[in-house]
Amino acid sequence: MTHTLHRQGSEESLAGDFTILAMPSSGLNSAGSLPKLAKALDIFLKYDPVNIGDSKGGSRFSLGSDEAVKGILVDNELVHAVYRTKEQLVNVLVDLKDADLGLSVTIGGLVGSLEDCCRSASVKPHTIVQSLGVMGKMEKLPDPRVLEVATMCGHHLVSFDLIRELARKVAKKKLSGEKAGKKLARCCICGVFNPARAAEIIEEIAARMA
Amino acid sequence: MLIDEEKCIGCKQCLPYCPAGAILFHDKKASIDLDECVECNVCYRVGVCPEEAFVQQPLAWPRSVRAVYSDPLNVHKETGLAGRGTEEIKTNDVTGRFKSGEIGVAIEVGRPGIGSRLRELEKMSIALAGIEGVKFEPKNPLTGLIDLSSGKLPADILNEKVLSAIIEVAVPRALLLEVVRTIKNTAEAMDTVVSVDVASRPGKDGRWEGEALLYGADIYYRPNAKINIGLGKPLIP
Repeated sequence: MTHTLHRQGSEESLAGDFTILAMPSSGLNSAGSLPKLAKALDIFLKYDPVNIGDSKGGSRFSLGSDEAVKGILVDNELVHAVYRTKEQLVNVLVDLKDADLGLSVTIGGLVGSLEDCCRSASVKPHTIVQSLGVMGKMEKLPDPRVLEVATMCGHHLVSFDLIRELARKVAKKKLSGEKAGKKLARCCICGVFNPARAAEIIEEIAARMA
Repeated sequence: MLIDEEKCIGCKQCLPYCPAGAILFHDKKASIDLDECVECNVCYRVGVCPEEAFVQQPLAWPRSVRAVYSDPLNVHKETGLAGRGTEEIKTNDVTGRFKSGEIGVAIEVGRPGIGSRLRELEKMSIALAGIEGVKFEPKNPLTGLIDLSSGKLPADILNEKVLSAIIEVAVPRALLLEVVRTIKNTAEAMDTVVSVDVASRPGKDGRWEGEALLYGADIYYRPNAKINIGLGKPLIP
């Protein structure tokens, strides 16, 4: 549950990080859902997402292209996209509402921003899931900035060590922040990682190291 | 996961990719610490090894449990879904799983990024099973392994390590605060971390039911969330 929920960071940073997913419900409306999922993905792509992916195959970065993601869609799965702005998300919601696909759609981000987007697109929030954060052995966690990057892959396939390693390379000017973000995005299999936000955070970590 | 020692050229490129820190380096060769490896397949899938030295070995019970809760490309027979959880709120506009007056609670043990032995998770499932009125989600891929009367897991999987696994329960509104406090107290006795969330519908006053209860009890919740926006239909047109 909640692979797009527990993203960490300041409100200022999270304000540039929106996720969306569309899916049928298994056994209820999943039969024949493939063309609807493909249509939802086309709508996602129309508004310049920083990442896309599907839950059973891979993402723009793990598969290498958007066409590859479109080529592996199957019935009964999720399609994802990630955006930087409210305006992009509102445009997507308006198009999805007009398309009337019948798929369930879930959006992620700051609650106030999401509710604004719903009002702007004239859609009604139905159910919410809210994070209570992390509990337990907090001393096991890494530097909060590293955690901000890692939590953008909800399945935690982006390792803390790789984030630190790439930040060191950025600090030594051996790699750009943008390329570091995209390298990390290859590890996230379903496409909910935000490589653009990751690049910004890694550049900040690198500046601290330099 | 294994590394073919004959193929490994000792370039060390794979070392930082492992989310579990299970790739070791000795005598100019990389190898897998099988006790720490969670079988997430990141090293293999990312294709970081220039010599293709990673080898996916067949996984027998109980080691197979590691891949089930660590590699999100595993499709669970209980749900037909890939990943570690269920459809939860994502299709609530179609399934009606969460109704007004009922709160969903998910405890993801090992997240973010620390991982967990299943014996640590069992501490949480035992604590929750002890609260009358807590209902474990039947479609969750973990629930089938839990003895619902005691919360115990099969003894032979307790030492298995996973990247994370999710306990999903539903509770009546009146129980939410007791359940959250139990989770917090139990987490403090666990040798890992847990990420916790609360799912709810709007109440009669338009406020999210879970948030209203948490706010009233001065329990912290984060400013980000995810919202099902109600576009789903039982029959796709």
